[in-house]
Amino acid sequence: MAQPIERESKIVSQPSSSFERTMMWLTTISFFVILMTIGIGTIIREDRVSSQLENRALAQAVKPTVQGVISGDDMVKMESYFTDQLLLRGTFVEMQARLSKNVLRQPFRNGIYTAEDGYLIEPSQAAQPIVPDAFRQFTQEVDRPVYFALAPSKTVVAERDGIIPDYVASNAIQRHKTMQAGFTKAGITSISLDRLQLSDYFKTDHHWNIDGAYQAYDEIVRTIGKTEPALKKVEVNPGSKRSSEHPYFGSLARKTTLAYASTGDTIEYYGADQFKGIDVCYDNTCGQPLIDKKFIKEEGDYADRYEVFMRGNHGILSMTSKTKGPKLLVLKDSFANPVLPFLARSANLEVVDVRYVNKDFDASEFAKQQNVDAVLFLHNSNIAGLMKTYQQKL
Amino acid sequence: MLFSSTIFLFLFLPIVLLVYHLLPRTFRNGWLLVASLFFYAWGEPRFVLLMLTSILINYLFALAVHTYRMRIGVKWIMFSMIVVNLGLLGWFKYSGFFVTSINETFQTTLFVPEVVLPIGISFFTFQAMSYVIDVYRQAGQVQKNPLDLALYIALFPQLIAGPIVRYETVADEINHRQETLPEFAQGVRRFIIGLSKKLILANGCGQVADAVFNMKDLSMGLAWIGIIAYALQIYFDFSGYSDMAIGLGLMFGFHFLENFNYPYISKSVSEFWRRWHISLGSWFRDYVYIPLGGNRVSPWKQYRNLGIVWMLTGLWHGASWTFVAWGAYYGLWIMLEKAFLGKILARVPVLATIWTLVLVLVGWVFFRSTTFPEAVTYIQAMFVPDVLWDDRASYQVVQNGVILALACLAATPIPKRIGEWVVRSSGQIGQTLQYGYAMVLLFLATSALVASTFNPFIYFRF
Repeated sequence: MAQPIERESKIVSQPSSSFERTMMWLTTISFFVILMTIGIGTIIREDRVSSQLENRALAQAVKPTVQGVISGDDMVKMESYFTDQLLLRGTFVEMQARLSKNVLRQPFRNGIYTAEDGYLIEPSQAAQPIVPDAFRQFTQEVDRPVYFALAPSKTVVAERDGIIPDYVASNAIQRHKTMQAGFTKAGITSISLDRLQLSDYFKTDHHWNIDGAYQAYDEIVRTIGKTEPALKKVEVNPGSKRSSEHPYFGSLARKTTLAYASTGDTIEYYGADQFKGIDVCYDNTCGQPLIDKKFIKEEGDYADRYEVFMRGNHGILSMTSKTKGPKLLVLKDSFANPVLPFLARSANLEVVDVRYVNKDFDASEFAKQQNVDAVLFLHNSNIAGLMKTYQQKL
Repeated sequence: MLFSSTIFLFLFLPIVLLVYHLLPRTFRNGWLLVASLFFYAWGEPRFVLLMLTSILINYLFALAVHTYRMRIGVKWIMFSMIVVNLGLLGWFKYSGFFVTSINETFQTTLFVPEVVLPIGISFFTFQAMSYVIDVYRQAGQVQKNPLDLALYIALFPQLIAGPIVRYETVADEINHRQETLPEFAQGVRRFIIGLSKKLILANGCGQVADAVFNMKDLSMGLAWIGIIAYALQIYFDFSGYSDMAIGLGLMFGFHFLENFNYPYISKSVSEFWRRWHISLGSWFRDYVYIPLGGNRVSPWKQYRNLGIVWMLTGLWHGASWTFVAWGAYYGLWIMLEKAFLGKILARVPVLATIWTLVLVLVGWVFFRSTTFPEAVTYIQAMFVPDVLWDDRASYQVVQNGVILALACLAATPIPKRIGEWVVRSSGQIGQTLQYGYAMVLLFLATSALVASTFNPFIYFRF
């Protein structure tokens, strides 16, 4: 056995000057003040329920129990609570992101790639999706024309346009095609939205913007109109297009922080004057706003301004007007929200978001009860996780 | 409780420091002991009783050794002490491994006890044994006050991840120590450097290592990136904890020995182990190797002693045959260096450094792998791969190249030497930087702690 090279503990030398002594005092006091300020500040500050930045509920205070303390579970919960409620938490998260981007030069954060033009893309390599047999059964049971408008996800478009680096594994296009083929096999008429460009999507969010939504509306009306001639496109007045004053930082920005989503987006919408006569009903209340500008004006970098359209998602929502167009059942997720106001000018809509309906909801029964003329699924291709829900609800 | 947790950093530490320095000297040890027990109890309160039992037993053993030093029976006391301590360690750490190994070897179906491993048991057991042995050797005074002994063993800065503080190192400081401003300020800097090593460098490299070790069909490039990342992770993690412990010790007036000394610049495996986890190496040298005869016996006995020491070193790190193999691997190379290889390496220093680094990296594969087949597959990918480079390797270079490069640089003495030169050559500006950068690091480390969910504790099995 060899002798250790360094055995003596280093005894710290005395300061060589009053300046050095001052620096030592400053170091000691700063250390205490920083730790104490954050610690005491965290304790005395009112607890926050959720984090806009992280889009999640924050851990709340723990009431210790004897069993919880003995097992150590309560201490784990207390640590989560203290970390979640930490003073300046958001600032620290942003600081770490800036370190990652500017010093460590990491182009990816939480699996999201920052393209040169500021687009945030989430490449993904996943198993090929399986379209459940429930779709085929639904198509047969419902006894009405069924359409699927499957928008390419932002990742599909980025992959197609070669924006995702070669070294990153991503099979979004393949999965998109598999899903399209699955719906066609189930007897559903496909509405192709594959012409969408990256500029039709928000830079910092996974959704499409108003231009993408309007293109989708155009394509939906064109395709369904072939069998439902009463469905006609109603043009919007380009002059009524409005923009949010505050920048919009969407879901991908929340995952990466402002360090990566440096430019932000502008959320655009058409003024309520374009949608007069459309009655929006949900939660047993009619006359709900179709465009709610409250979300446009909301303070906070990460305010969810996308909820400007019908205040977000609802289990069942109807949009009726004096239009002579057909009655459609739209089965959708949040991707459809900016499309619905356009579509509601051309048709009466019963809109269902299967994620928020009762567990015994049956879509084919609902379609019959509502006596709809046709059924439209409106999603983007990143819905593999929804298939199980559809299997139960269709 | 972990040093790299918000509760420790922003509640426990400032409160303990503040109260400690406000209290009259008479009460400081008591306060430190209460704080240390609370620190250990946080998360696993039931094991406090185990640690207190260990302290009490060794307190009594040391008193017995001190009282009956001149009698023949003292050797039996020492033997009993070793059996009891190793028995405790064996039950909690090795019983499952031992029975499983018997079942696998002899195709038996003996009951495998499911024993939860108390955190830090290897560290506090070795410290307790060190105390009794040092009293026996008269290298330190016997503690009449059990609370002072409890403080030595349970002292929270070094309790769960070392360094293994030998009794003789701090025996005098338990009752006679002086806390000074220069040492406190130095302690603050050292603690922050350790915290930054752990949270920025170790965790950054750890994410790469975990990603690679969870992949299949590695290319050669990816395999090397993965093991280099792991080598950096474990170094900065462990040396970061040691820095934090040394820094905290200074804040309370204790002087712990250095535990790491740039191990990756070593020119031989023997030198590596003089620079890596120094407190463990010297513990085994002084309490196992030398009592077995050390270098003063015949050559074959020297090799036997080396074999024993390195198998034990491997086993100390974890209850698994991969750890035993890891220890035996180092033992083998040290024997070869002792026999002839050391003289050859001494003639080619640059080549020797590269050679040693490669051997150490191969060693880490055994350490990181959970099974032998896993380790062998990984080593195959490193040296006889099916594919030289793939997209996953490119991704790791683009995404984590800077952090890996920074970590490689920080694993050498270069940054320290540059820092010392700046301080020497730029007067007050240098001194301002010397203290100011620590505060910047504190914010960066805190941001890494808060923002990341990846904060593994890799000493749970030690």
